[in-house]
Amino acid sequence: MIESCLSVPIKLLHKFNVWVIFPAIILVVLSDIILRTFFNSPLFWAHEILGLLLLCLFFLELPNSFQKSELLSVDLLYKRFGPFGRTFSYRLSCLLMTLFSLLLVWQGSIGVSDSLEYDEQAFTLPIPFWPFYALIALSGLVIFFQSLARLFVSSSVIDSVQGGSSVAGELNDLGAQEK
Amino acid sequence: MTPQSIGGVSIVLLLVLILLRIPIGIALVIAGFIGNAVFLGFHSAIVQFQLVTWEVATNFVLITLPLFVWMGQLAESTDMGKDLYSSFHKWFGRAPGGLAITSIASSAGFGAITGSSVATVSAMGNMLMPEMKRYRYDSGLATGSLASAGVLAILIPPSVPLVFYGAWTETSLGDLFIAGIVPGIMLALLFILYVCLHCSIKPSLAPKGEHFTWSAKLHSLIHLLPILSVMLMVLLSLYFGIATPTEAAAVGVAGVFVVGLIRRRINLKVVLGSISQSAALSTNIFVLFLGGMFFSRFMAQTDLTQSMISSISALTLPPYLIMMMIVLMYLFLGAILDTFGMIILTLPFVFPLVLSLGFDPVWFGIFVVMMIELSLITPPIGINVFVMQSVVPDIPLSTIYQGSIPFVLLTLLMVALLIAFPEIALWLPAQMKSN
Repeated sequence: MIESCLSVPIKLLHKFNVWVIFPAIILVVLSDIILRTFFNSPLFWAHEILGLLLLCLFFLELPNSFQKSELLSVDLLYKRFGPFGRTFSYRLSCLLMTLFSLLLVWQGSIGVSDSLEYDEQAFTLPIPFWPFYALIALSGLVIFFQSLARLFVSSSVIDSVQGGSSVAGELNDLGAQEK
Repeated sequence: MTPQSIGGVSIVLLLVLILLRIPIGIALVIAGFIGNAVFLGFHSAIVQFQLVTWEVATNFVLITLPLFVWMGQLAESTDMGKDLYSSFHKWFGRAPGGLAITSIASSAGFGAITGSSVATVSAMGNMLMPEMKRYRYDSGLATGSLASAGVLAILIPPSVPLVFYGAWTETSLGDLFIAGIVPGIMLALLFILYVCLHCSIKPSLAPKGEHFTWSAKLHSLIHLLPILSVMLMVLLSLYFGIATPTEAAAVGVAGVFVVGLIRRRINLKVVLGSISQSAALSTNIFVLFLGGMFFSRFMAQTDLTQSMISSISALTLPPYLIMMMIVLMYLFLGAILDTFGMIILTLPFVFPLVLSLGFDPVWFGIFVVMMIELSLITPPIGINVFVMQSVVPDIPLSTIYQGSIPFVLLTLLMVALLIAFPEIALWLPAQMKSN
């Protein structure tokens, strides 16, 4: 239920990445090269802005990666686990993901409050940092609800939601691409 | 508890979590955070995590990652491998083991655009396997050469593992890319030489292919030109210092895009699909990088890395013996971990040790990538072999592994040569700097 409710904002974040952030990165890099090479006037703010865009790219995409179970893992022993072992591994994974997301929310919130208090902003352009910390916290919050929802699924559905960027996962991805 | 023992317990915790199939990046963050909290206190652990997250997420060097990944995805989506295959097939098809040679040459070329061995094996496998079956190639030779040739993709620049290594160790990406060229070409030539000799001795393994006229051969070069131009644009701009790796990546992306447009293989769906996959792949690598950096900082604080280096130095073992031990360690780790897992888990310890022994960081980057290559074609994980089997499900996994054995031995020979003659990797970057 929670997962299906979350899938809409996760898709929106992913689409924002695909339509806005990624093209913006390409645009800034190419503009910088062209301006530097042909007009000898590089974009002095390019490095810093690209760093911030990269942050957006990663944290907007993270909930989508988690939803698709694409984070890299090793399933060497997992394949030999029985049903109990698999359930344990799955729930532990969700629990640790919940902790990870809380760390993101916590540090993002501290970042927002600190950057607002000390008026932290980029060196080259007057762009405040607090929205970027807020993005980290937001990404963490979405992952928190995702992992919490997965933590309490019944054992019978665990096998069906297992994916992962393990060998099996990558082969599934390839199969999907070929189809 | 001493700082070193806290570090030691954290490593054990990390390994247990990884073996329990916790995503590697998350396991690194959690093990590092618990260790940090025990060692420095909860508040300091949060501050450390905050600092590392910001530093890694805004690391300008990492911008190369989504760019090269996208370049590879675009090249894959626009069937550039097909052009390479059709051209090389016309030139090498009649040679002993011609189709296997075609697979090696095409994989090396395709790898020089995609930087991904999985993509290379999948693309080349789907194109070449039906042909190899038609000519009744030996299954072991056919699948083994295809699976093994895929490893060339991550050695010949651009290479995603090299970007990862460079960003992690703060080694010049340009130097790393240029250093990968000679070993990559040498390994490809070794593979080709082996196939040629083996098939000359046992022609039944690989019946001769179709004959093509000189006009057809020359005509096929026209299709090769756009891909070659993109490859050369990237490599030469790096070699002559015209572009930074980030700029070279952008140039490569623009090149692949233009080629795709000219060949009418690019549309909005292809572009958006490739961006979507690139964003996902880059984020996966980012999580690993974040976790690895956080854990590595913690290890440095506990002084565990330094004491380990001191203990090994105190043994006064010859550096080459230590390198042999590192080779064995990577062979073992390759059996249980994937590409980035291997890099992220070993570099915090092995990189300072190797530097303290006087080895060059650029050389070591190439060495690490070659060890990763081996893990891609050796059991039990051998991702290239699994991908190959997904292409030809009727051929057993054991046949593909057996077919890969000669290529594994050749790669080991190349590693030995690289250790004995570091100039193989370092000569070209030195030339580049002197230019």
